[in-house]
Order: sequence, then C-alpha cells, then structure tokens
Amino acid sequence: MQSRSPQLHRHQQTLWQDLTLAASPKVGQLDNIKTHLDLVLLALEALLGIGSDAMLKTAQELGLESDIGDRVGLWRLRQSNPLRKSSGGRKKLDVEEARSLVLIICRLAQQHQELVRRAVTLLEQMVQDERPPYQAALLGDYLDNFSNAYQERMRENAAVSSEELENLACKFLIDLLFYSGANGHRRLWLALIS
Amino acid sequence: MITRRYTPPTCTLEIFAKRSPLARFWGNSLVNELRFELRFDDPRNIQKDSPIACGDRQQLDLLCDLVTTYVQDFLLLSSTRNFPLLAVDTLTAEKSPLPPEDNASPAPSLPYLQPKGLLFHELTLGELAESNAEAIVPLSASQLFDLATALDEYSAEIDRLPQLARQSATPMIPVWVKVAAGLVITLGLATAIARLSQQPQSQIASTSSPKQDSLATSPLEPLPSLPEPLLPPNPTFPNDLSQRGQVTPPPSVTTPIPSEAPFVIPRPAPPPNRSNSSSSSSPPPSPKEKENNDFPLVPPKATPTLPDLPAITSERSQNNSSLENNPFADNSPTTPVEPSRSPNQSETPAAASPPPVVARSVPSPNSSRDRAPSPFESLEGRTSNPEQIAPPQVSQVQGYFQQRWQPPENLSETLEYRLYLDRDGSLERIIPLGEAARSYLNRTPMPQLGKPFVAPSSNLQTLQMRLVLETDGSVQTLLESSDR
Repeated sequence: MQSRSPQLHRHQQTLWQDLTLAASPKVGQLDNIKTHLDLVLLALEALLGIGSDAMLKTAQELGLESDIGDRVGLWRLRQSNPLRKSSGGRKKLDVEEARSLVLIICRLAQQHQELVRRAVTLLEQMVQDERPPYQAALLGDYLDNFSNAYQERMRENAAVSSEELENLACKFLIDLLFYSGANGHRRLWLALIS
Repeated sequence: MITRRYTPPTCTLEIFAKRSPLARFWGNSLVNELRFELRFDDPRNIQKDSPIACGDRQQLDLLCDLVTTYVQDFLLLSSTRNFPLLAVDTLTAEKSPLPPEDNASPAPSLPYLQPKGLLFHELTLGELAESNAEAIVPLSASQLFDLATALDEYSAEIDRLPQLARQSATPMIPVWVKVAAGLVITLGLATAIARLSQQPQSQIASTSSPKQDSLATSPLEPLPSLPEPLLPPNPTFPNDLSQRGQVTPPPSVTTPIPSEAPFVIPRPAPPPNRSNSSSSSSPPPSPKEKENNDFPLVPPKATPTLPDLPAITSERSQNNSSLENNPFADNSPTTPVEPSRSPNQSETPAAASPPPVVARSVPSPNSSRDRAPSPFESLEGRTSNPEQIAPPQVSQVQGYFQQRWQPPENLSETLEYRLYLDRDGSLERIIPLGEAARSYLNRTPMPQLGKPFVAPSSNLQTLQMRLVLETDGSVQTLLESSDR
C-alpha cells in the first residue's frame, strides 16, 4: 500500500485535475448534479450488485478517504440528492466530494466495463429484435434492482411510471458505458456541470 | 511511414503519416500530413461493402469534435428533462430519409451524427466517405462508444505526435548533416592537404579553391553512403536535442498569458479544455449542433424523474444565499497550471493533496473544512463574489518575482512554490513543490522570511498562493486561499 501510494496519488491527481470547473454551475444545476450522481451510483449498484462497501473500497484505492471515508459519510452524501425520501440532516455535497464520486463511479464502471458493455449490447439486441429488455436475465435483474431501489429511496413525488423508470434505467446503463472509457471521468464531469 | 491503429471491438481507425524526405529539411510536422481510414468492422455484423471513412488530419479532427460533442450531448440528456424512450417505435419510424435531407442542405459534405432512439445513431459520412457520398453508417450505442474511444485515443496521442515528429525529424537533420559534412570536410581537407603537400606551391591557390567549392556544394553527395550508421544514433541523439527543441515552444505559448492577465487566475482549464472545447466551443458543423439540441428521438411523453428537480431546486436555492464564499472559485484556475510535472509533492501534507483544490491543500484539512465547506451551492455565489478575485498582493508578488527571476541556464523544469503571506506583506513560509523546486530554491529571488515585500493586507490575515517560475523567465502567481 505504502509503495504504490505515490503512483496512485499521481494518477489520482491527474484525474482530479481533469475535473475542473470551467464555468460555475447555474442555479438549479447543483441539485441536478446531486441527483445525477446518486442515480448513476444507483445504476452501478443495480447492475453490479455492489453496495457501499465496494464504493468505499474504490475510494480508498483512489486515495479519496478524506472525502468519502466511511459508510455513513457516503450515505449522507447520497442523501444530498433532493429526490431522496429523507430530507432531515441532509449533508451538502461539496465540490471535492462530487469529484470524488465522479472518480469512484468511473473507476467502478471501468473495472466492470465488460459487464456494462454486455448489458448494453444485450439491450441493443433486445430492442432490435423488438423484445422487451427484461426478458434477458441480466437486464431483467438490472431493471428490477434499479426500479426497486428507486422506488424505495426516492420521494413519492419523484415517482414515475414503470415504463419511464425502465427508460431511465436504460439511459443510465448506456451512460455507464461511456463513463467506463478512459475519458469517462471527464465525460461525466462535463455532463454534470454543463 | 508512421502507422497507428486503434482497434476497439467494433471499428478500426488507422492513421498513416508519410514522412517526405524534404520534410526533414523544411522541418515540416509529420502529423499535418497524416491520412486516416476508419472502418466499421463490427465482427457481429460484417458487411462486404460497409462504408469506409477516410480523409486528412483536418477532417479527422473534425470528426473527433463531432463525435465528442455528440456523445457529450447524449450524456447531457440525463440531466435534462428530455428523457428519451428506448425508441423501439421511433427506431423504425425515424428511418425516413427526412432528417438527413434536412440537415444535408446547409452543409452537405460535412459528416454528421443523428440519433435514432436512445440506443441507435446514424453517422453520415459526407465528404469522408471513400466512395459513396451518401454513405450512412448506423451505429448502436456500443459502436458509438467504440468510435468515440478510438477517436479519443487518437486525440490523446496526436498531442504527443508533434513532439515525436520533431524528435525524429529535426534532430536527425543536424546530426546527419553535421556528421556527414564533418566527415566530408575532414576527408576533403586531408586529401587536399595531402595532394597539396605533393604539389608545387604555385598550384595551391588553384587547387584549393575548386576543392572548397566542391565541399560547399556537395555535402549531400556522400550522404547516401552514411544512412546505416545513422540509424542507430537516432534513438539516442533525439532525446537531448528534442528536449532542447521542446523547451522553446512552451514559452511562446505561456508568455502571452501572464502578460494579458496580471494574476493568471483567469486562465481557463487546459486539461478538460480539449474535451471542453471540442464539446462546447467547436461545433463546426452547424447542422450537427442543431440536431443535437433537437434530439428528434425524444418522445414527448417521457418525462421521468427530473421533472421534480426544478421545484426542489428553487426551494433549495433560496438557502444558498447564506452560504460562504467558495475557495474553489479560486482554485479551479490553479488546476491548469502545469504543476503535474512535479510529482514529488510529498513535502508536506499540504503538498501531498491534489493541487487544484485549495481546501484540500491547506495544511489543516479540518480548519479548511470548517471554514469553507465549499458546497456546490457556493459555486453559485462564485459569480457574485468579487472579493474572491485575487487581492492585490497576488499581482504584487508576481511583479516582485517578475523583476527578479532569472532562470538558471540549466533549468529545464518549471519551479513551483506554495507561499504563505503574512498579514504584514511578508513571507511566512515557503513550500517548494517538487524536487527541482527544492534544489533550485537558493537560485530563486525569494525574499527573506518575515520581511515585508508587498503591501500589507488590511482585511486578510494570511494568503496562500502558488508561485510558478517558468524556465523562460515568466512568472505566474495563483491565489490558493485566504484565511480570514
């Protein structure tokens, strides 16, 4: 751990430097950023079947413990999503934390790119064949997980129809593929702040 | 001939760059002469006559911009309310040729992309099509991803290519010519002297002058015989020479910036710039831009999650006014400084943290957190927060060093220091960032600690700033944070 930390640190530093704010977000964008990050994480959870442990481990690998150190911290960060049910004691998300989440998301997506890609390819195939995506096991599980988690965690007025939820899940799945690329962190960051 | 091949799973991008012999002498950059070929050879769907895109560097760069922008716009859909459906219906319905015609009219020859549902896209090659100008390539999301990946890889590499080109082209000329010419001259002189020594004195003038002429005009003649020994030296010589060659260009790029901007802070962020500029600033094919905004695939009925956001946003944005100013406002510009070059920033905990973010680079993270949580909301305040514009001390420090900084001759690296300025305008602490900065500290015109050298600060206790001493003698200062 000691020996690889400088390298990791440099790498993380480079990634970190990619995530600059060329322009400040407009009013209203900030909540979208929180929502977006939370939902992308939700998509990752739903597809990979991972929990906060994996995210914390990735944070550790990236040397981001100072921003995202423990389960409660991560939970509170995600609670900053205004669509979340519980609003009391919500932690605000600051820029460093948002960057950290971006790096974590992209690292996880990169690590599981094969699976992400398989899911997207499967989705393409199902749609081309005009078959409902949930008929494919991988996609069915993903869509179920995503919908359940969404309904469980988000406020009622954020509720959407199951069809819309499915589209949302599919959109985030495709996005994950783009985030899994070498430039993924930049793409996600730009998508957040644009 | 240089070849690069990028082979994501569903397409192949090949780059060819010819090096003409003349280019060596004219110093032409290789990368300007490159050609590319892009094949959509998805193994799942091999077609004999699948279109091939090809063109020159300009066209390839254009294609990069096009795809980057398109992908970025696509990703943006998530954060807008225009959630498209999985366009099972529209997929077939939109296969009508109408949109292409529509878009083709303004600039028929430019390539463009258009969505065919969330999962499918169409790339019209336009002038890039090898044979058929109407060539349209259907791309699925994963194919689009692969195309973007290949182009990203190319973009990342092309940034390094000019240097490579310079390394291989320019240094080779002097070494070649010098060695060859030296040899010729030596040989020539030796034979001349040898002959002369055997000839009567009176002939010296007449014999030597033709020799001189031949030396002047024919250095190229013996060259063909030399190439073999010249090949091995290539890898060794260019390193030195190319570094010298590389040192000069940066100054010409960086110098205008400090001269325009007194405190460098406004300098925009270069690292994301590439993607940024390509995604936002350069949508040269206007039709593409138009499409992306429209995103015809968006079915009107799909408006899932985010409809809620505006309400929440306005609710929350009222609270934002109470938020502190954001040190990040000043930090973001620090990112672009080229500090990444100094890897040994392990001097202090401060230096060990990533430079772009002030809050992280303040020695005591706790205090920084307490002082300015720099929540996202505070970014909004950034624009209406003039006090975060650098205090005069920043430019004064820059002026101080600008007058005194004389880079040592052998300095090949930018030096960076983190300076802590006391309230009385004196230097409280200096932290060299990186090995070079540490070893050259004595050669820098650092003022004495505790001795005021800029104006005292009236409302600030301490200032933390980054000092960047360039090898070309220019100086940059960046405010990192100010403690109240």
